[in-house]
Amino acid sequence: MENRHIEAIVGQLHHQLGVDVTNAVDVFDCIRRLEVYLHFRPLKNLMGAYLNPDGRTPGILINSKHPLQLQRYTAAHELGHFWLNHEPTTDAVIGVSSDDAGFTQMGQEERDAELFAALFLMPSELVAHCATKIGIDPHGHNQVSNEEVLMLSLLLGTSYKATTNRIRSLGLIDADYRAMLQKRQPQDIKKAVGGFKPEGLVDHKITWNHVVVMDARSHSSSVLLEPDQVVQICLDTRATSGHIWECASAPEGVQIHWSTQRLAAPDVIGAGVRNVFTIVGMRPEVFILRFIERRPWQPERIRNEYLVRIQVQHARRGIDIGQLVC
Amino acid sequence: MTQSTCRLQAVREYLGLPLDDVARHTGIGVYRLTRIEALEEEPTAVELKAISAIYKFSPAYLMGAEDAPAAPVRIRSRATTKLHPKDEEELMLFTQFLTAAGASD
Repeated sequence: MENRHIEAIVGQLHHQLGVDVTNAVDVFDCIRRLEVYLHFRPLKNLMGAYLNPDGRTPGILINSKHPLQLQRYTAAHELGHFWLNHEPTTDAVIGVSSDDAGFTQMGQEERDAELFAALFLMPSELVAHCATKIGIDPHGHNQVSNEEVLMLSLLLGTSYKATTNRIRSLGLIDADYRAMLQKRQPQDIKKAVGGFKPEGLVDHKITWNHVVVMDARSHSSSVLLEPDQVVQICLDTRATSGHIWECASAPEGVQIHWSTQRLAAPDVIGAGVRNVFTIVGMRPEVFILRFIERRPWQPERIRNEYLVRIQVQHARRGIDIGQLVC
Repeated sequence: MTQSTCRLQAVREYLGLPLDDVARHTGIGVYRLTRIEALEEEPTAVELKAISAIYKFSPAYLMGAEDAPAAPVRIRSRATTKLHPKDEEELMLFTQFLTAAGASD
């Protein structure tokens, strides 16, 4: 199937489902609305599967042990198999192709499902919208940094790798630049932005997969969060002028921990500092947080503002009862 | 009803349904559901029908009186290595569920 044909199919499906292309696409909700059973189970090697044993009762199985972004991509891939009328299939490897040659070597249906998933989760309008929001020039070429790709992936709800592949297909970067971006691991980028593993805040061992790192570029954006993840918002300020960042509104249901990092060696005079807010969502809910930068003795003079909408997801397991009681 | 064949709890857990969700949608109290699953009380035909409507499996299957629905498995695997036995089992269970759901429509 030609790429532009799949693009048209995805566009029609977005239109049919009334998908909002200014926020991360809720692929799980889309699957349920298409009356495809969506089942989250802890699997071993499988990422997911599309089944349809009687030809009229389709179902998608997702490995619940995987990170949210990977589950979303797998779900979109399996939705592609369903919507493109492919044979039922299991998928042990999805989205592994990090270069154009690897993509070409896939079977036709796999390629089509991969393309469907990328277009479904990252339609060009959404990528352009999110890129503009974080200051990436949507018409620039090879001008996006690792940190910007990481922020973009957060807003899109996709993995760092899938995001680099998509901006490559949109022509924002070339193949060599993508290879350069993919050489750097997301955890190293998170550290560079100011993230760290906040041990002791949650009752499980924190890995980098549990840490979502954002900075000022993601102002006024929305992020999906797993129940066991924490968000770190890293906001730089000029401490020598007396400015600090503080949380202006802390809704019930979130824990906020504050820390500060110097941005230069201790003997450098006038260096800025980074205020890091580590946020733990205590229950599945949407939280809107507002941070302001000001001098404590001039509370009415706000220098900067940072807003974020954090949507803490329900733990996904089994089949949503809404699908079963229909 | 025997302990080895009643599948009410096993199916509910497989579907990831909390007891209170099932209670809310069937009108059967949580305490009663717990007792039924623990084989301490027998469900009525009406209760069993309400549970079956959510779980999609037939009352007879849930009570262990019949085997899983015949599931025509036709899956083309692209796994680079042989499927793990646990994954094979999961595929079989989901196929059985979908077959039962299709039959219950």
